[in-house]
Amino acid sequence: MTIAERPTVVLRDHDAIRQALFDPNLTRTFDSRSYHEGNIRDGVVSVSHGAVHRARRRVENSQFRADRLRLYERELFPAVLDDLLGVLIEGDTADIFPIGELLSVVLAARRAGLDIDDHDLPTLRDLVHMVDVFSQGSAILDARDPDAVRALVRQTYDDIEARYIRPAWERRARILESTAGGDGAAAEELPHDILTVLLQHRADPALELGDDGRIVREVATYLQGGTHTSAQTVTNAIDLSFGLPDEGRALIDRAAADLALAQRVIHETLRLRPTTPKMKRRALAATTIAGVDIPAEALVVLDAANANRDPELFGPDPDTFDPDRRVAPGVARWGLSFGAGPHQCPGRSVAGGFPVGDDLATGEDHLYGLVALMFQAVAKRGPRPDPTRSPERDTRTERETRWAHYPVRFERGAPG
Amino acid sequence: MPARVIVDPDLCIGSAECNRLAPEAFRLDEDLGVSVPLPGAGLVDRERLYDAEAGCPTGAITIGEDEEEAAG
Repeated sequence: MTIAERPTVVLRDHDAIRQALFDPNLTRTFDSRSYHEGNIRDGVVSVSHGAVHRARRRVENSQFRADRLRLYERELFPAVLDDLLGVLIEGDTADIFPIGELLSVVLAARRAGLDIDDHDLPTLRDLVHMVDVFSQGSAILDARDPDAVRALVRQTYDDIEARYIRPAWERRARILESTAGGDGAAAEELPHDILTVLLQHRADPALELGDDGRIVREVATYLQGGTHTSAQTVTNAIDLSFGLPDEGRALIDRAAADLALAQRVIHETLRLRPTTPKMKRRALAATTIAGVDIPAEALVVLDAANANRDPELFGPDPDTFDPDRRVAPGVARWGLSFGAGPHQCPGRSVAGGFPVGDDLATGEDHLYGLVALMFQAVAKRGPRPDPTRSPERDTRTERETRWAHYPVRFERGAPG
Repeated sequence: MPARVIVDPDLCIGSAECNRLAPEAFRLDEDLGVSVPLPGAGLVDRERLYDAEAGCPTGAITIGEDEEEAAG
């Protein structure tokens, strides 16, 4: 049964969608033919289900512990911002989306397990190009030309393996071999990243990583996930800010001085413009969600974009961009944009930081997320719409939230 | 009365949300990649335990009364 032939059930309510995201009868694996045999995302964690998915996440989640996140947010990323922004912004104009990608790809590559020079712009641009291809692959269900996307993604897996993953793999394999041979000093050299933990645990059959291609695709998935969404979100945050009175001047200036507000800008942006506005699942077996009977093999569409605008949860003006809004207790300010349940975005706390409570307070241990740091760094330069060049959407996808170019003009230079 | 704190190791994916929300009650077993309740977890403020239960992305945590058999 193809996706088009399946009975379709659409859930639009916040609680019903949350319930669906926790229901083990619903899978992200759509059908065995197109999702396993020749599937461009075969075996990656985001489309795996059940025991394999849990085993993979247990290993990979070790790279998203609070101590790692603090290192990223308080030491590594501020240095990347300092080093790269001055190089990437020449004069008083810039294209925000590619800059967001170049900033994001540095740490995404490090977390995925690629050994790159953080300052090597040609390499960063090469990786961003690959991320762009993988992003088209991850949105294959909304692609305008799926066959062309599949061919391009397959070629790019070969390229990233040859140029980046295989050298990193061989280095880690040598260290792991020395470690296994009792060389304690070698263990100190072992990087902390997704590729390393996959190689460390590869022999565990529960992970289903016998095929080298799966490791390549998994590493590429983390590279893409850590880059594209962050860059799109910071661009959408700028776009929504420009839609406010006086082109968002007051909000942008406040955020430049207040990281907690910059974080709420990002959460509000994610609420209004989720990366995946409609999540899709397949019913492995008949189930009932919030009183709705779902037959086996049904396609279940979870309309997060609608649920994120529920006035009962987000106030009487849910369509308005208001980073200071109050939301119902226990509800995330970003709505369902990071998903929920076992497939909740593993990079949620990297990109979005920790959730903000009802009182908007943030304690000493609070993390604000790398996208908020990016937004604030841009805000400090006083971005305004570029009157000479219009933003361009990414027309290769049906998703309205994706940008290709977003030119801005800066009122101020780099902060001193 | 102390709470009964259970983490189902078959469901846990090691997200560490419980450890973030109630670090006095849960720790990550890095070898297994799953959370386990700490000794005395049942004495931790009940609201924090409920936050951890609600925040678990897989529903692996159950907070019950000590004398009752909490459902897995």
